[in-house]
Amino acid sequence: MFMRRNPSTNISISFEGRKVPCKLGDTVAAAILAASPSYTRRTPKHGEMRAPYCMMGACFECLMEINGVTDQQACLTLVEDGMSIKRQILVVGSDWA
Amino acid sequence: MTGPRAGNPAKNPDAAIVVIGSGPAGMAASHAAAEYGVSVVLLDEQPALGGQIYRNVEMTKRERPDDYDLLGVDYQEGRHLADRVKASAVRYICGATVWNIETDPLAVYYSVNGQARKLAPTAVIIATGAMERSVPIPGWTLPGVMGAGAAQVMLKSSGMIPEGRVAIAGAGPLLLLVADQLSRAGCNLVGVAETTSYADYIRAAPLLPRAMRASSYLKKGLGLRFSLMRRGVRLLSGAKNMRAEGDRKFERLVFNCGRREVALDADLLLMHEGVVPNVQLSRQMGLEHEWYDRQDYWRPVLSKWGETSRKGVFVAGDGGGIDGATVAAHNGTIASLKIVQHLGCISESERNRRAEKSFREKKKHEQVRPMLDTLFGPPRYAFQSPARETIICRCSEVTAGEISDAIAAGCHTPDSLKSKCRSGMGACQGRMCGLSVSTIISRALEMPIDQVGYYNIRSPIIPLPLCELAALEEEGTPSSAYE
Repeated sequence: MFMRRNPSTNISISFEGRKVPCKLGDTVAAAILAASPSYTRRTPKHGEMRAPYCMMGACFECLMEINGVTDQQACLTLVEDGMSIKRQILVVGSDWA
Repeated sequence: MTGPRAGNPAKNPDAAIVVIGSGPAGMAASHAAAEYGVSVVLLDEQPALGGQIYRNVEMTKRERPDDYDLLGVDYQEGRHLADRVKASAVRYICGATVWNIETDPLAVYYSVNGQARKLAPTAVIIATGAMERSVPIPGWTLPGVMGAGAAQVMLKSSGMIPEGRVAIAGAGPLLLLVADQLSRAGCNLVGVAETTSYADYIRAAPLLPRAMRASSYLKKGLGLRFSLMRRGVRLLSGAKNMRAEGDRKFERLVFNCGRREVALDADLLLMHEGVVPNVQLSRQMGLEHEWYDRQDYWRPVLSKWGETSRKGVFVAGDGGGIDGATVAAHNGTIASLKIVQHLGCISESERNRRAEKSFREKKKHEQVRPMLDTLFGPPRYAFQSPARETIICRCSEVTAGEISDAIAAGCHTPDSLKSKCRSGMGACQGRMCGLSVSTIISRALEMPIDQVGYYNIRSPIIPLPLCELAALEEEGTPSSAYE
């Protein structure tokens, strides 16, 4: 969905097991958006696909599983080398918590 | 002065003032107070100073000069404020999300890196700014639909631009700015669908002479429009009945333009209908709010110094009403001066003398607002009668139809709707649907919105694991009340 104006990268994270090159200073949400993720979470009620929307900490659409911890706001989290990111797919029918 | 431990409140070891948000208002406020030797802690949830308008300004300048140029002088302006904060004694804590403020006694709870902490300041300045107004249209939850502000954040914080075809829709000064920046960065803009119509321009025209007193805004607006036209970007005005279509991802924007239906095929849709104050914290604190009907948003009730209904608690910047970055910085300075005087560091006459320039400048910049408010009025059609299938609450997936049915079944307040349909109960806690829900009730019951009210916002205002609460670290004890 997004691309870097300057393609140079210096670290990498993984998204669903796939290696994603990125740059120190990127937020997790931005780094994933640059890797054409198609979607980054499914909603609990209907299992709808969603992706980051506001990028400023308000909408909570960017909730992902970061290093095994769910409910992380990926737009407020900076990338670290070797970070493991997964889509957040919570059991249908459960609340966000 | 009262309180458990008398002492000089200006030297409160916790912080005499906690400022929340490091945009223009928060940076100006922190710096102004620190100049008088008042202890200030500046909390911000982002990784760097700047808020959204000046987001990441220091690093962009240092590492991405091309982006820095592209973002223009209005962005570069933020660097001066950031430099001043960095050179001051302000204790700036980044990555800090405030999730609760208690008013009696004053206590600010926040988390950094999954660790909860508490500060007991003498005064608080909430400078949490604005957020993009939600624009519930059918299909706006599809991956590939984002806020126009989000695209600008991508550029500011990571030097990224949309790949593929981009459609932009909505209204407001930021809409054209984002369109222009993306177009100059080489993005493939397939069209800008403006919900502003010729009729809006005619309505706004009589306000032009007054707005000329702040003519730089008008020049900027016209400049952007010409720049887009020169670059051949398709501008369509008077767009109505927008919907985003696509199977599992956004594929096209469909809308009515006069009598014809227009479809813009694209990979990304950026929507924007202006910004509204982020009232999550001021609501959580139970401060008094009022409805501003020219722009259809809630704002906290403020004195001319920015003081809220709770003494010692101030709101500065767009969180108190949308006036833009320049006015926000002046409001930050004004609120700080009032507190600094209250703490006994300066006399009233010194305060007034120092604040005079900010009040004067602020007044000048505010002259453009009546025209902007009229020209870019809120998109009433989208809020007041959204199609039944439109998702209003994105988190709990509640549609306009479900909300209408619940209203018909007797849910006449935002909180009763919350209990019935779970709207506003998801992770965002009503940030995205609060305005829409109040508006839909107001419309359905033909009741003034200030009587309808808003969700009751409770702390913690972010999803917080229990273990984080349990491990709360206190940074001190209350030192003195703001009396």
